[in-house]
Parts: sequence; C-alpha cells; structure tokens
Amino acid sequence: MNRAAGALPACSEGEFSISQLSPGEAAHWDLLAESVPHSCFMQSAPWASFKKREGYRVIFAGVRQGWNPVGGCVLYAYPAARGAALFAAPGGPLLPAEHLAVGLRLLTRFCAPLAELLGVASLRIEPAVPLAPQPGLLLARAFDETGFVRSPADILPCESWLIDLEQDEVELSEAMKPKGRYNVRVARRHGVQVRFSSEEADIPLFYRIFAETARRKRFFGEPYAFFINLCQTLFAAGRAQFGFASLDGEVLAAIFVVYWAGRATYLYGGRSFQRGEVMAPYLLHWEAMLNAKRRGCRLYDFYGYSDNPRHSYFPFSRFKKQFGGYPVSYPGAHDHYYYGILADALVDLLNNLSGELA
Amino acid sequence: MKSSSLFVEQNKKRIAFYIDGDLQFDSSDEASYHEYLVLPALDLARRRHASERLRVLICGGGDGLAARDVLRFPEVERIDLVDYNPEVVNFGRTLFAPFNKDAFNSARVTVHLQDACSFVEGAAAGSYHVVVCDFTHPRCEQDAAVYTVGWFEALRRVLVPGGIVTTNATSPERSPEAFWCIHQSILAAGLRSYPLHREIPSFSRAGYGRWGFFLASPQPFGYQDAAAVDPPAGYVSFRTRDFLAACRFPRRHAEVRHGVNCHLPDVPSLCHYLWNSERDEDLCGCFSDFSRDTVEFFSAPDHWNGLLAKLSPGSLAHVARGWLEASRSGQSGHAPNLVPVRHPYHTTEMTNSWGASLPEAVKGLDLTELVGQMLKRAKSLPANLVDDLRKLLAALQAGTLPKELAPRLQNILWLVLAAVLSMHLSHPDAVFAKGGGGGSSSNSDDTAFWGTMLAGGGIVWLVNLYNRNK
Repeated sequence: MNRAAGALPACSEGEFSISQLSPGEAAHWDLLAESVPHSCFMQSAPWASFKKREGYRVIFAGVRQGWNPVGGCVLYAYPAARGAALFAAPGGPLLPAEHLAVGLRLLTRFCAPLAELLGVASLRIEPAVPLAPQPGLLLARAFDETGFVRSPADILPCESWLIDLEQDEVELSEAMKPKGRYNVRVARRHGVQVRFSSEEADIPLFYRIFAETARRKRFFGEPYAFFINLCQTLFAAGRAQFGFASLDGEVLAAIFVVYWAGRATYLYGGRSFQRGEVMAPYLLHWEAMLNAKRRGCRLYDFYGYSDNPRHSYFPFSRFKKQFGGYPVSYPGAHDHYYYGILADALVDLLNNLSGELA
Repeated sequence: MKSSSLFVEQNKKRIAFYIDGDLQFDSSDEASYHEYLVLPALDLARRRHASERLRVLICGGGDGLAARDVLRFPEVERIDLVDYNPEVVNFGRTLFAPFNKDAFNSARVTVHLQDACSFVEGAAAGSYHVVVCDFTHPRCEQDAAVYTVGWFEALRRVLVPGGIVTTNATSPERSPEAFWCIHQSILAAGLRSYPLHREIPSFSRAGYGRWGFFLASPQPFGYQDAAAVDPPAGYVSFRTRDFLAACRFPRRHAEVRHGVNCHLPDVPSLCHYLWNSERDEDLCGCFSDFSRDTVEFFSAPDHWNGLLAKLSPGSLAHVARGWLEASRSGQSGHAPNLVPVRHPYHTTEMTNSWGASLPEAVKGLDLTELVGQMLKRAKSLPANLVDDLRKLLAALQAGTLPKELAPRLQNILWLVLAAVLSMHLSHPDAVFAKGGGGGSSSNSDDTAFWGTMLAGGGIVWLVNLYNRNK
C-alpha cells in the first residue's frame, strides 16, 4: 500500500497516519484486510463492490504506522439522503487491538471534512472484535476517549454462534447435541441431497425459499434485487455460495454462505414448510460446515444468536445450538456525532418552519 | 452514469429479464406491455400525419421489443433508439433478438449509446412524430428525472406539431399518487395527458400490480380518435375494445389526481409517492369492479391542477412539519407519513418499527453540545428562536429539563427528534438492523408507539428520558 493521492486530506498522529486509498491501492486492500485479526466480510473489497451497485458511496481509508499498513476501514454512505446522513463501517474499522485508540482518533478526524462535504452527521463503527474480557475493556476505553456512544441499531448481529472447524469431522459430530446429530441422520435416511453452487441461475431458486420464510416468519427480508446484486458480485469474487438441500428434486432448504478471512458465515437462508419431518436444514448446515472446512475455513458462523426469549433470534438460536459450538458477543455499533453538521440541518429546518413553531 | 445489474432467468419455456432486480419483461406476456406502449401512439400518429413518413424516437428500450412493435408500421421512416446501457443493447442484439424479431438489424433503426436526457437536449426542435419512453422503474431521485415536468417539456420541444409521447409509468393500482403525479407532470408541461392501465400477468405475479402508461400530445385527441385505433396486423395482444377499457379509470381512483403535486427537479415528489403508497390500499381494489362509475380523458380532457409544493414530500422539513401538525392535533393521523419510506427496499412497517429505537437514539445524543452548535449557527434565525435556544441551552447546562416546556421549545425538540430519526433512517441498511442498543429486530406494534408519542406524551417522554439519563 503506497500513500494515496486521494482527494481527502490525510491525518497523522505521531508515527500513525490515515489516508484515503486510491483505486489502485484499494485493489490490494483485501490482502491486508484479511490478515487483520477479527476481520469481517463487510470490510472486504467484494462487499464494497456490492454496496456500490446498491448505490452507496464507498471510501477506503488506510491506517499506517510509519510506512507500514496496519489496518483501515471501508466506509459506506448512502447519498440519496435528505437532511443529515451517516457513514457506516459495519465490521470495521480493522485495527490491531494495540492500535485501536489511535486508529479511532485518526478515523474521526479523517471523516470530519468528508462529513461536511457529504452532510454526514454521524460515523457509525461496528468492529467485529469479540468481547472477551480484555479486548472488551480496551474497546470500551477507546470508544469513551473518542466520543463514540452506543448506536440505536446494529447492522451486524452483536451476538453470534460459532463452530470451531479446526476439529476433525468425528470431533465436530461428537460436539453436536444428540438431537442435532440424530436429525442429520434422519435427513440422510430420507435421502435428502445437498449441493453447493455459485451459479447465478440458482438465484430464483434461493429467493423463492428465502422470501417464503421471511413471509411466514414475519421478518424484514431483503428484496430480489438485493440478492441479484449480492450474488453477482460475491460469486464473481469467489466469496460466496448457495447451499441447497433437496428431496425428490424439490428444494426444502437453502442457505447463502460468505467466505472471508477463514470464516464461513451463514448470512441468509430459509426453509420450505413442506416435508419438515425430513430435517433437511440439519443436513444442509452439517454439509456446509464440512464444505467450509474443505475450503480452509477455521470457523463456521451462524450469524445471529440470542438467549433472550423476547429477541427475534431466539427461535433460530435453539436450532443453531444443536450443532455444538459456542456463543460470541461483540461490542455492537457505536456512533460518533458530528454535531456541527446535525446543527446545520436543524438550523435550516428552523428557518424553513419558523412560522409554524409558535 | 450509474451502473445497473442485469439478470436473465431462462428456461425452456420462457425468458425473463431484470434490470437492478426489477422485471423488465417476461417473454410469456411481454407483448401485452409493449403493444399497449407502442401501438396506440403509432396508430394515432399515422392517422394524424397521414401524408408524412414518421420519425420515431425510443428512449430506453435497449431490449429491442418496443422497436419491434414500431417497425410493424410501414409508415415509419426512421427510428432513433437511445439507451445509455451498452450491455442491455448487446442483449437486444443477441439473446433477445429472437423476441424482438432482430429489430436492431433493420435499416430503419439507429442505436445511440447515450443518456436520453442529453440526446433529447441535443435534438433539433420538431424532430419526431412519436417519442416512446420505455425506461426502467425509478429506484432513486436520479432515475425519476425522466418523469419531471422539465423532461416532458423537453419532449414537447422535439415533437412535430401534433406529435405524440407515449411513456410507461408506474402501477396505478399499487401507487395511485405516483401514477397521477406523472399525469400532473405531463399536464404541467403543456401536454394533454391520456392515462391507460393494463393487467400484465408477470408484473402482477412479481407484485407490481396493474401497470400504467400515458399517451400525451400538445394537441388533443377525442374519443373518436381512440375508438378508431386499429394497428396493422401481426400483433399478439392488442384489441381496440380492451384499449378503450384501459383508458377508463374508476372515478374514486382518478379523484386522487386533484391533490397530488407534479414532479419537479428541485421539489421532487415522485419517489416519495412511489414508496409511500400503503395508505392508498383502499384504492387498490377499485380496479376489480369499476364498470359503472368511471372517467376517461379522451372525452373530457384534463387540466393541470396548478399545485406547486414548496416542500418536497419526504424531505426533512416536510416530515418535521407533519410531526408538528400531528403533535398539535394529538393524533397520529396518517401514521405512514410520520416516518416516510426513502428507499425502494423499505416499507412503512419497517420505517415505523424504528420507533422502538428512538429512545436509544436520543440517549446517545449530547443535547447540550447540539444546542450549543445550533446557537453558533443561529445568525439567520429569528430573534425569538435564538432566545428559545439560549433558554434550552441554559436548562441543559443546569442538568435538568423542566417538565413544563414552552410550546415553541417543545416544537424545537420535536424537530430534533425528527432530524435524528431521519439521519438514522438515511442509511438503508439500518432499516434491516439486527437489533442494537434499542433491543431486538422483532416487529412490534409501532402504531401504538407513535400514537402515544403524538398524543401529548412525546415531549414529556423525551424530558424524562433526558433527565433520567443525566
């Protein structure tokens, strides 16, 4: 990574600096991004391409210690906003724990002129760093020092359920709950077939199952257009696959898995409400774990988990726990407000509506 | 120019083409769409300009299907087809050639890989007898530029006297206000407007609803012109009697046109109408049985309603005004308007569900800092508002907000809430949030939340929240 000749001014603090990456540098971003601990696919170049297709403005910012790149951040802003908008870095910034505080200070300074330019009133970060005791304290201190407060909304789930794929197949199976293992066998006995695909032609097949599940389970599902863009960009980059479980030619369950930084993330999925007795989703996830392991992944991430019976993830979480594994918590999204920008929007508003405030 | 994603679903029986995830055509019934878009306009034009060879401009339509139907008319001398997307045009030349009857190989067709707006801008006045607009459905304000008053004025300029514009529109069934907004924009541009609607099965299956089109011309048509439409042989779906039925609208539906704005670049309305149509649900069903009380515009030409909005619907100022009005009336009224949808992926249910996150959004704010920053920028504000902000800052600095706030201060706090909510919802992904400081991503009874907020509880709630947080 060379120093960028980007349009945005670089910032520095001691031996550390942050600057916008040129398009050429951004092309090499993934090499660095994948090597930073606790990296997240939403900070990858393929994900950035997908978000560009979705109409987002994407900015790559690189952090260096001296001349050495040590991390950075992919920032997303949606330009069509009316009034103040926000920057989001889901899964970011990517920074080694020891450089987190200085990285956050630099990031907030780097974004300030850009915020003014784009009318952005908040910078939302969401590092995917597990809240094990030590990093948790470090993170909390760094957030406090740099004026980040808990955001009202997370883009990533702040709790998840992980399977350690560094175990061998027998160990993985033994780590499952007996009911989970049994259901995998039930699916096999019924003759459920699993296949993986990164063919665009399978998008309608996947979406039919996903949309049916969203409708029945009453969650907010993304539309067809979203999946076309998502699959076309991530498949082309070799970063995602569909998994389908079928019986007698009928698809009973489908998943969309993203591969990034040694982790396979089950991002979307659904199941048909036919033939529930054959337990197709159990075999599908089991095969997806083995498939991910063959691809060199070290973790299978069920993406979203909650022990809270009032949380919408609770019913899905009981299913996920059948595969063994362990829960993980993240700090969640945090916002740094650019109060001047928000004040600008409000003063404009007061001017517009001053006659109606009495 | 933004890039588009193209996707083709193909099996032995049919082919379906999507741009940015929106169905453009399904070969099983595309004739129904393209023939209603093209044939009436061309047939009316050849009768009106009987002694002339026709020049036709197709804007969009890179799949070649509209061109195929224009080419059915031997009176057409030349077609200029302008589409900015070379990939779509390439499909038109290759994959779709069996469906468009190899239209791009016709000597009468010239393809221009260019943005339609700049092409029309550069075209000489009076260049075309017919302009066919076959654009993708708008997904953002930028896309909606081809439905502005200015766009229709530009088309009027390139028409010969008595020339005709035909344009695809939106679904009158799913978004009545958006449909009639296009009607008003055509009228405001000095053209007569003749709306049509048509059931297209693949569109209905995709959830788009009954589809709409407009014929427009600077010179009026009468009912006898419409009744005489009889295109040359070879078409698949078009029937004159169905066309006449397509021109009739349930009166209750057509009444909507009196209250909608036209679409202007600096005061855009169309996307807001498109994405916030749920309150029009009661109108959706009126197409199923409307035989008795209908209107059509060939017999009774319509006129622009003259509405010129100062605030764009869905803008922060417009939303904030809605909040102020609702808080004064103490009722949530048209709840969907309080948190308007601003992205095609969202629904009113999604944006309203953000009410559950509002307490966390407010908790994270440093109101003292915000009001301080507002005062630094307050030079342009009336003196009484500056005084109010000073009082508010003093109370915040003292650490407690008084429970009895003056009405104007209450209103300022309403504006703060509206601006903060608007900021959070400006990021489309946030609406699919996975939970957060505010709790879970489950759907809740959001109407009740907004009802309580607006029935006098909102500012008390905010004051209590702030004081408790302190």
